[in-house]
Amino acid sequence: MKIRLKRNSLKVVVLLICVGLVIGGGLLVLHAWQERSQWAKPAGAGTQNGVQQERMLYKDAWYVPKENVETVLIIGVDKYQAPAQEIGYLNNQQADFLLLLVLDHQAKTCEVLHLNRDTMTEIQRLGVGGGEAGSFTGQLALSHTFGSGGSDSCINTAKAVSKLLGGVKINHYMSLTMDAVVKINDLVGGVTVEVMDDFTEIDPQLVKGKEVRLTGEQALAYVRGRSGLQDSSNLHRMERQQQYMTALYQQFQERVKQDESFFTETMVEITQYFQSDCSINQLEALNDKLEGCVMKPTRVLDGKAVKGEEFMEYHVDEASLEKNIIELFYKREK
Amino acid sequence: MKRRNRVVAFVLAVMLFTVTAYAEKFTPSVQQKGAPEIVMVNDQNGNEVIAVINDASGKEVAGVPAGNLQITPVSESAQASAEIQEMLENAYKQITDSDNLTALVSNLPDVLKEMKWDVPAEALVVRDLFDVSVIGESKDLLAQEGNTITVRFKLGLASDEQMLTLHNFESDKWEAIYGAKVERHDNGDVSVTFDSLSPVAFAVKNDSYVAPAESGSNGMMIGAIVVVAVVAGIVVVLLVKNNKNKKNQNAKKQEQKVR
Repeated sequence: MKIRLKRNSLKVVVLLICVGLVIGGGLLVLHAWQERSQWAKPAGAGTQNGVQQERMLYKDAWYVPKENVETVLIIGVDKYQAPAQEIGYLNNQQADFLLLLVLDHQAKTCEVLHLNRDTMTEIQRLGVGGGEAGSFTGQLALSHTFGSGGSDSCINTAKAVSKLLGGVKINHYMSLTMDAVVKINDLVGGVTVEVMDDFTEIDPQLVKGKEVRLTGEQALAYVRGRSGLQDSSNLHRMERQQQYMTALYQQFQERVKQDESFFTETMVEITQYFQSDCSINQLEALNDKLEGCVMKPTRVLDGKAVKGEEFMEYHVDEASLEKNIIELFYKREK
Repeated sequence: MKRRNRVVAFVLAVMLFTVTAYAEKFTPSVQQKGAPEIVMVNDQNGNEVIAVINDASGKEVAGVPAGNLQITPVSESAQASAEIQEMLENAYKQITDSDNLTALVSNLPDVLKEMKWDVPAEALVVRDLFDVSVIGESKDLLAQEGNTITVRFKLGLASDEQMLTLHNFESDKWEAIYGAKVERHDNGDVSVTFDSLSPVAFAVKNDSYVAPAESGSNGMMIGAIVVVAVVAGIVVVLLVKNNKNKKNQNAKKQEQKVR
């Protein structure tokens, strides 16, 4: 068969090549878009480290992630607010207290998981400039010491908790330093209580039975102290705490009645010692959700506390960890 | 007002919850260290020392007593002497101002090749930055021509984990220390031998580093699409042509039959 490309045929070939190029160009654009969409982060807040399993086999049954679950990590930092550092990528503010609130909006429940600060788990190290510089196994408390002590440290802590709990998303965080206690107490002008225990070894003014207007530092000692008291039980300390909180709240309400701007002023003052990825509106919304929830008893992960090379280590029991992850974040597959 | 009070109550409750937990501390709690811990070693006489000074031939000159070596992490530079503070801040600035550690050590890609570390230079991130200084007699010994100092760091490196030592030996000059000057120990410690002491940085791979999409792959795709389009075009034309020819041939045959 002889092939003679006449003028008309040539036109057809050129046309078809152009069509092919247009199609090819379109494919290229599609390819580029697909690549870009892999880089794009999904919308919405939250920190996640690893991937939460889509299905988990637990005691011969399959479980899938619950829907409509919201998590809030509360971080208590064991220092007063650190002086502003001009340089550095490490801070000395350990996450000494870690509480994970798990709000199940479908079941209208709020579960509380109290995490031991000495829990040995994988922690992301942040290098100079904040870049990820490897990970190591260490106490959960150390996760907050990487970064500036601000949101980067809180996020690093949330990542460590997420990793510990099998990749569940931590939607929000809140962190508080000890300054907040002192500040609020003094903002309301001190809190008056009838001292329930003999604190004279700590402060000679805190005599049992005496009515004292607590300063910030006295308040700290009053709600924290346990060691060396006649009744050193935690139950009795909790009674003091309830007494103090009631008195503080009443004092606060009175101040607000006298001066409407006091609330805003207080929140501004607390802001320095309180960090969160939540806005004030989100905090209000969170509070509303909590009010509508049934609070369940606090959970802890079973484990063993041992003295490591230098410091205390808490090794979580794997069975307990799995059980709590399933119960908090998964439901049985239908 | 009521809602605001509820917010405050919530925050206060959280605060109290937070505060009361502090009182649970009855056991020694972990502390963050700003710089890698230095491991004590034994000198040739069996004395425990913090570092060892050797001469050019590798023969031990003296051990460095613990009090003669100072390590200052960059996070504590403000508490250090003016000289050390300046050096550390300078080193920190150079690291954070550069997108890539090749800006500090220009032959870094070659170094990584020699180390047989299959990682692009831009994937490295500085994990630790600190100053190491010797004082007293140790300082004078180290200053002698050809002498070096070997320091063992507790880094907890896994056996398959790589690490590169960078030394800011002068102002804006850096060197990579590797090969025979670095000894890895089974327990994750690393001994590094320095000719002099000043700010030191340890660099590791950034785990979240993602290589940028190669432009070559896009070019290849374009080429492939063009080739396919052209071939498709030619094939279609040939098919159409072939069809036409067949029709013409059939038409001619019909004509001939009729005749």
